[in-house]
Amino acid sequence: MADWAVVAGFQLREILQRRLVWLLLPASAIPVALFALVLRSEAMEPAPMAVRNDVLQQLLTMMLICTCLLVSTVASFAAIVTAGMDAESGRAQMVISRPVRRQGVFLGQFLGLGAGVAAYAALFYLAILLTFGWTRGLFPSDWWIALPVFTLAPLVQLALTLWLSARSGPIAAGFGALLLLLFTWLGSLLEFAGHMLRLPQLELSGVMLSLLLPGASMNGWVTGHLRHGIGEPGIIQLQLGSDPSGWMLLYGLLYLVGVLLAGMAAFRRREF
Amino acid sequence: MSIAVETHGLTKFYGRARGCQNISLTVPAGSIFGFLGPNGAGKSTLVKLLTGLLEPTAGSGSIFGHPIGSRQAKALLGFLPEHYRMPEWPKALDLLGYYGRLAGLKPDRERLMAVLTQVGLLEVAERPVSTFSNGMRQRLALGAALLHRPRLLILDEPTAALDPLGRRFVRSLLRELQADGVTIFLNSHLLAELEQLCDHLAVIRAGQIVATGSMADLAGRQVEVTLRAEPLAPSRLAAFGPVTALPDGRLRVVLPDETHVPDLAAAIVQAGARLHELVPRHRSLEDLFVDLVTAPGEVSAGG
Repeated sequence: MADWAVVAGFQLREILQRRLVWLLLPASAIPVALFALVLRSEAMEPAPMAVRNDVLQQLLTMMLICTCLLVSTVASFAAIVTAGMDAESGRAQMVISRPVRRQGVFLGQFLGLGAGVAAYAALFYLAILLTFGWTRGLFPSDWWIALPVFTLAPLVQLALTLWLSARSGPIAAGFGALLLLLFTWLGSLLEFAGHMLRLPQLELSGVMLSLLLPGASMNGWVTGHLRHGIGEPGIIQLQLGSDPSGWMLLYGLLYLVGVLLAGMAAFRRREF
Repeated sequence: MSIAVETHGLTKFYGRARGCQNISLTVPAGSIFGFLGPNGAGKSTLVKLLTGLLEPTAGSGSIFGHPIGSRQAKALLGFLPEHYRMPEWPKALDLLGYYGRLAGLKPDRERLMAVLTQVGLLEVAERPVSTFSNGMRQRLALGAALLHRPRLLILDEPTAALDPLGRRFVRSLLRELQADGVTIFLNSHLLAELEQLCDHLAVIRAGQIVATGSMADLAGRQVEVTLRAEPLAPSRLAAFGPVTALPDGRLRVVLPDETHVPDLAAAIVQAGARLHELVPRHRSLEDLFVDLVTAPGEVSAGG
């Protein structure tokens, strides 16, 4: 079996053994339950159909934005904890001193952690859509197309944090990755503001900032796709920025591959 | 003589800080080679260079002829890092299986069981690591380093966390491995441990080797004699070696080897003194270590 597959399998099994992971799942049910409560309450308020449709779209968008941020943050923490613990406990030294390809070890770590993060994101995503369907009888068409894109955003965050961990200490890496996450969502906010206020320069600067880390843009694509899946776009667009194009998805994928390659190169040179 | 490890001017700087400098060592194959030095002297740096965890700033080294850090060299070595803390959740057997696969071994339950037997953990093969004592964990880690039948075993402070029984077990295991032809590079500051195990030794101080050679040549050659003779001026014995007057009136003389003891006794009697007491003692590794890390210069012994 290849090095990366051995490491990935072990890493995934390790995640599943962590008590914190099993605490995270019930804790994640809380925002979903709150979401259900909000949807139920909204249904009881009298409102014209067009406005109601708008509100539902915005509620779904907000929930998906918050979830993406949460899962991305969890991905960063998973990477920091793993990289820090591996170096500090001598586990990395035990592995690297064997006749393995260091790039394979890095890739395996990403795949193992990534499988856990992607599963968590997918569960969250499905829970949100099921809650939405259960409370309002609406289920976005083509929801399955948006699922892989939704899971990709936290994977980008994970790859970035692992790469930074291979270059510097895990704490600095975590700080850097979370700062970038903040910037990119700020970029989306600026893009949205520029779009609403018809200020092309502000919108462009927001887009440029979003390119630093494409997670927010990918999430924008997901929310746009799902909104269209439950009805015509409403008057108010509470998404952050305009709907990203398919090119943005391609950029996101290339970004992920690029960061992974950079991480593998950094891990190969890393001193333990 | 077959050579397991050879380094030439191996140097590592962390920025401006010196990890180790100009290390030239030869570790004979089949030996138990002790690597000794005070904290912060550069022992772990050298171990990390040999295992490919660090890139040298200058110099080179080889393991059984393969450049250090290469996959061929790594395939021949087993390594147990200092303060290794293994994951708690796997069973002993699963953890060994994981390290075995990383060493390129195909799944082989028999080999895993053989290693568990070797480190005395066969009965607990199916138990998770979380239920193990520190000693058991250390033995399991040693097992992980042995799985792929390495020709060179590099151990960084392997007995530091063990109780006397655990240390005894590891000592006997290392002797068995040596008998099987495995070369052992033992990095430690536990002098008694090294004294009992090693046949070759190197001492590092402030990143540089200050002594290297066989244990017999370095530590066992000199004899320290404590004597009480009256009347006798210390200067009468200066020809034999350094003489120190002790507070209780006795004298201590360091002789080059034990063949000089009868000559010393004869010289005292010829000087007209009455010899009340004469106790020869081989110098311990601790004596050598203290001398080497506190005094300038370099000692090199053959063998």
